[in-house]
Amino acid sequence: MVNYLIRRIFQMTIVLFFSAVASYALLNLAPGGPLSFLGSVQTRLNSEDIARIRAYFELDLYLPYRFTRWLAGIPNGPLTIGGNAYFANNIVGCRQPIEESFLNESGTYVTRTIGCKEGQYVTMADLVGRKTSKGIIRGDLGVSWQMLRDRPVTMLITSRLPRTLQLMSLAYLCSILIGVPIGVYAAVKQYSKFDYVVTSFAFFGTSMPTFFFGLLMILFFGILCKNWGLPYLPPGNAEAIKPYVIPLIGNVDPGSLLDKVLHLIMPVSVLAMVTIAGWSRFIRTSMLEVLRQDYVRTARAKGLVEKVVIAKHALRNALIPFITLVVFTLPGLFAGAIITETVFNWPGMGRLYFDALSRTDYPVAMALILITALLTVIATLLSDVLYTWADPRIRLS
Amino acid sequence: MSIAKFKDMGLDVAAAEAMPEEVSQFKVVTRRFFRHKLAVGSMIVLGVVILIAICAPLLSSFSPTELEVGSDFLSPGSRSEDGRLHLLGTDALGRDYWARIIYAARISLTVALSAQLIVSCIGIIIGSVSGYTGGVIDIIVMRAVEFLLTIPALPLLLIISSLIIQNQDAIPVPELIKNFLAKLLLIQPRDSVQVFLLIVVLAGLGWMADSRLMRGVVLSLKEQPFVEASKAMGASSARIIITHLVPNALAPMIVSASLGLAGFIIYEASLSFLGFGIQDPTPTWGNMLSATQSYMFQHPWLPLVSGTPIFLCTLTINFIGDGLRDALDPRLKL
Amino acid sequence: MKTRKAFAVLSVLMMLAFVLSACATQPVAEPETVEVIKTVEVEKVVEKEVVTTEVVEVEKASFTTPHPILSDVRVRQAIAYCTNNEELINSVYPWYPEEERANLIMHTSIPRISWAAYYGDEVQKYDFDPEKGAALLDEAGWTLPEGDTQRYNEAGDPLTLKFTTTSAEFRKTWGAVFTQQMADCGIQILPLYTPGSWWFGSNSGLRHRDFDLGAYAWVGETDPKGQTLYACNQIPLPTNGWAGQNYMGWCNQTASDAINAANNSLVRAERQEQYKIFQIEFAKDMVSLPIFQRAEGNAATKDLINFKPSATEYYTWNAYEWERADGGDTLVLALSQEPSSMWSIIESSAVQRTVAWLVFDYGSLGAASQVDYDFQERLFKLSTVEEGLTVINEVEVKEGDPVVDFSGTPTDADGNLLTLVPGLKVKQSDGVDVEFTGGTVKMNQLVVTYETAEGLTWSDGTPVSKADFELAYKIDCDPAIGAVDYSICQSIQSVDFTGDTGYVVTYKPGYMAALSFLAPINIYPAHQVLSDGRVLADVPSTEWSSLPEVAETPLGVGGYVITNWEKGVKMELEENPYYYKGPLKIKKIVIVFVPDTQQAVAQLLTGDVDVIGSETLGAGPEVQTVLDNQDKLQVLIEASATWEHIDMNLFVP
Repeated sequence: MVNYLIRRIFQMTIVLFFSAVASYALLNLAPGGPLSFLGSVQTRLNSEDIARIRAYFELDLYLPYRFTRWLAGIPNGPLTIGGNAYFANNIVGCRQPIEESFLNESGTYVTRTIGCKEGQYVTMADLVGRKTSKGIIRGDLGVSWQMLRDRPVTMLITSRLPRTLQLMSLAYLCSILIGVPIGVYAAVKQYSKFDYVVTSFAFFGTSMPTFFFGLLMILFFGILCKNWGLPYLPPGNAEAIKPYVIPLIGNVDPGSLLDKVLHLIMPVSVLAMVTIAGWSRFIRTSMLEVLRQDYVRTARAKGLVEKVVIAKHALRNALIPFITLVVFTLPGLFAGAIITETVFNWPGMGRLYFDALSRTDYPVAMALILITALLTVIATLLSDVLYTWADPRIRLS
Repeated sequence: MSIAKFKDMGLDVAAAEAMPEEVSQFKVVTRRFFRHKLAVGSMIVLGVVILIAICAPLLSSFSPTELEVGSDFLSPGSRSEDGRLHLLGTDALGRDYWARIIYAARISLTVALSAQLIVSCIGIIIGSVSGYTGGVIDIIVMRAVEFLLTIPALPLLLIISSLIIQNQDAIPVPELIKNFLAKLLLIQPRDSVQVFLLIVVLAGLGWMADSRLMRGVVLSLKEQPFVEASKAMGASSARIIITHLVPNALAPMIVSASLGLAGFIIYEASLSFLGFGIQDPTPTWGNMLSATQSYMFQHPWLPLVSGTPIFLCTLTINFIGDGLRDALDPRLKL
Repeated sequence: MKTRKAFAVLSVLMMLAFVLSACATQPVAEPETVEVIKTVEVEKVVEKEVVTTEVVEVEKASFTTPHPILSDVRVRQAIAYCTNNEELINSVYPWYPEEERANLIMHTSIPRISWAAYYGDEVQKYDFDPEKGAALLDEAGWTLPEGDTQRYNEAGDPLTLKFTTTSAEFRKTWGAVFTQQMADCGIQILPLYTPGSWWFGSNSGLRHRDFDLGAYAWVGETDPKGQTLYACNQIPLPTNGWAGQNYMGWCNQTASDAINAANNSLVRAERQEQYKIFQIEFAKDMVSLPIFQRAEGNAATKDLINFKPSATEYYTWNAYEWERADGGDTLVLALSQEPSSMWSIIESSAVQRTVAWLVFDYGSLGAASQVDYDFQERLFKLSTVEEGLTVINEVEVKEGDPVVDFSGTPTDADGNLLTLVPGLKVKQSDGVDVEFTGGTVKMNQLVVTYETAEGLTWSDGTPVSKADFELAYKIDCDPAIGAVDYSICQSIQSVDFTGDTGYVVTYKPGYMAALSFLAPINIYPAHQVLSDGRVLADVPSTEWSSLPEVAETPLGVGGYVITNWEKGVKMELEENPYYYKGPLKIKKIVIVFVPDTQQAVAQLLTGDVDVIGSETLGAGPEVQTVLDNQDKLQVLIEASATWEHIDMNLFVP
């Protein structure tokens, strides 16, 4: 087991490294990029202006160097050993590349960088004194480009993370507490009315988009209920801005427990609703499989009470594949839910990630991607380990 | 309990050896399936949906792209300026909802069904091979899957879409497929290239979860006595995978497929937002659904119009899947 | 063990692939090996450069190939005639008052309400007339075969054009209607709704002129400007690094000269004359078809008094007049985005400007308000010639003296400051552009006195002083702070800090920018003591952008002070007791960040939020929702300064 874990952790590191390389390359090669805003600035920019702006985003360095600087904070100047500087003239980038446009096979023009204007190369020596992070592997996530300009990415993450954890964990908890019993009951009473209702509900939940449920709830429980003078729910935010009155309940102060709970109800229900739909379906299927197995029949034949059969023999085995599914909520706990957070204006990580990508704030996006990737590989490992723990027939090799 | 498994085994071997047996087994399965009333009912409903999709041009006097500025959001049953009936009303541009829904059925069903079929096949092959053989292959495949799961989808899709936008006329798509899709979906051959690419991209992005699922099932199945017995009797790995593992793992795959189908229909809409896939004004259930978002406060029932067919299709496919599984399971008496 | 080896091999392979792929695009990036090889590599690249200059010459020719369809002005005009703008407006703004819809239609690049707009008879109008369009197409050789719906030329090519734009919902909407309108004229449109990141990307889409018909919007400014959009030297080409915004590739010398002249004059009457010439040419050539001015809505609670949003100014510009009818002293505003920094020089988004009005009492740099397409004095007076604050001196300039060129640019294409050298084209004092050949040349030089409003006091009680101007000049003109544009700094010859209420700027000869009456240098609180004990004036410019005292809770002279900023959630502002327009009726303003419009509207309807400005409410179907609730809300709908248009690419590709 220890051997297995060591090997897996080693593999995980490699996967993570490749994932970081690929994600970094993807972000940097995707169209758009941090310079897009220049297209809308109605002023004249000369090549020096553009070079200066490129340098702010480190775009004057070649991609591999940008990557290593982001990953480990190197190179940050010539290699100094014993007072001698090495590689000082090593070229690491170009301030003003020369671009060439050429016709490709399909008849469209493609622009390619073909060289660098004379005297505009960036050498190792030029890197001395540049602002740089210590590198993400040393725990420095760098500074934000667009969302909180020049201030640490950690500031953004710490301001959003607690809210997302709160929302997601509550939603997943509700989903397990409701989804598992529903699924089990539907399996036990297969082809009963209850089963049909649950199945229809589940497919309705997966067929309709999240925004539908979210906006419908806001419209009904938020706006209409308030207009009718009924008790209503606040349409969004995590906390109120000013005190408000809810009929039958009374005054609610911003920041109080009641206020927080009221704000949680709608987003948690929407998230849970969609998750329950899928999970109850999953549980029902694996429960049905198990109920048909011979050992369940044997247990029944031995004269055990049906409840005991289900709870002790069937459920445990039916939950094995479900564990995998639940473990994979780990990255979701951190990453949040983009649509639900946007619809309910929940200041969480999902929105942060989406904003970072759409506003090309790559340091923020990369930090989130890498942390999510780390949690994903951990979840994979965890699910494999849990599998063996729950089902002794599976051996880890 | 292992005795039962052996019996099961024996039956399979016999089936493979004697052709007439197999035919009769197929008959048995069909007969068992037709006893499943809900599955049969679902099959009829799905058949009707497909029939409507095929006969779309006959079922509406409107073209799905025919617009009339000013007659936006007419209620169901109202009439257009020239007196034709809007069965389900109109959308924001005065286009007939019913016409759009039935024309969209062709595209949405084709895209979702073929993408899901590809995904399930890839999932079954990769999952069972990697789960059954284990060792280096398993490690490489599973780490690759893990790697792909960590890659952020949005930037990846942006790159793919920009590549496709820039080179869409240069991507070689077999003429046969192109023309077939164009005829099938009643769209321009140029757009059918996009549909083809869309299916490929959807499948390319969706196969990971299914292969992990399949691998998990295979892992637990391969330790079961009937597999070990089969191995002991000298069956080849390929044979064991095809005759024992795949049929036994079908149930979770069918569930995953019927859930995934709705996902693909909706996913398709978000891809058309990124500039590839099927673009407005050509209707799909997905893009009709996402277009309703900003009108939710005024017309909250709108998403139901395009959501209902998605719901109907996934539900019926699931019931059919249920029926199939029951029919295939020899332990169940029907 | 086996797996580990396999992985080692695989990872090495991947590394190689990564490095190689990087090399493919960027020839000098390579693994660190021996230094000797490196120098050779560099030389190679330089060699390559020489070769490629020739290639670039060839490429230049490629962009002079006229577009096979759109280079014909008759086709372009036919497209304009076949476009029914009113129907397009109707399709996206069904809630816009019907009788006012015609006001959203533009005939030139300047909205009708602007002082520079000229919509007279000389400007060719393209009112919806499909018959005229069809006639023009017939004349151009695109004929409609009997019984067909599409036009062909003699060679049998169909009249098909790509229509590229973003996948924004409202563009898809009017795009669908436009496609149908063109189809009615026999023009087949292939719509391409692309992601904004591709269409507006720095090396794709519009910037690389990869379109036939391209739809997007320009944000109109108070001053009509237009030089970078329509002058001949602003055509993006592979040879000039795709600089400039003349994406159509339109070069009409008359129009180009007029737009340059209009942007380099201080006299409004003269500018109007030049803009008139430009607009006539613009409409005649029909290279960019204005579709409509966008509409926009602002909504606020009925209780708010003096809510006066304007198309060209952020709605908080008159917050000092705001008052609540119900006697309350707190107001909650919703913003669609969080400002990334409160430092106006590096963050110029609408949301930052909306907050900046409250904190600094100015929105844009220049510190004047810009209501209804014109300027009003605010923090600084308007230093116009009429006010006697701008003096134009005639000076003799000799070779080697700093100058700006005829178009008002202080630097050459490489960013070096210009001096008068033979061959440089400059504007003489008589207004004639000449190429300098030697000797001396008579040019105009601006000397402008800038004066602040009276009683400016920082929110800590310290009055504004001379040191504050000096610090602003030092910091704002420092290239290290990360701002985008330094052209004004580079046009300044010298500054004389005369006292605590203003300063005098002497510009370089030839600088006649129309907006020189706006203060180029602002104020920073030089006396402010930071949390670490330093004084702001002593902090190096590179540190400014990350200072909380600059980026988050800056001192200002405006009506409000930021007391708390909960990241991603809200900002809280309280009244500045030393405000020069004070005291205020609204004592506290809370700003919540609500990116989703429907959510913002929901909060407005439930009373959680009091005001939604146009940057948050926009012009989508949500406006209908607020209009339906006019019993509780005041909804102000206006023509926005932003206008949709279709650019027509005159050259292939």
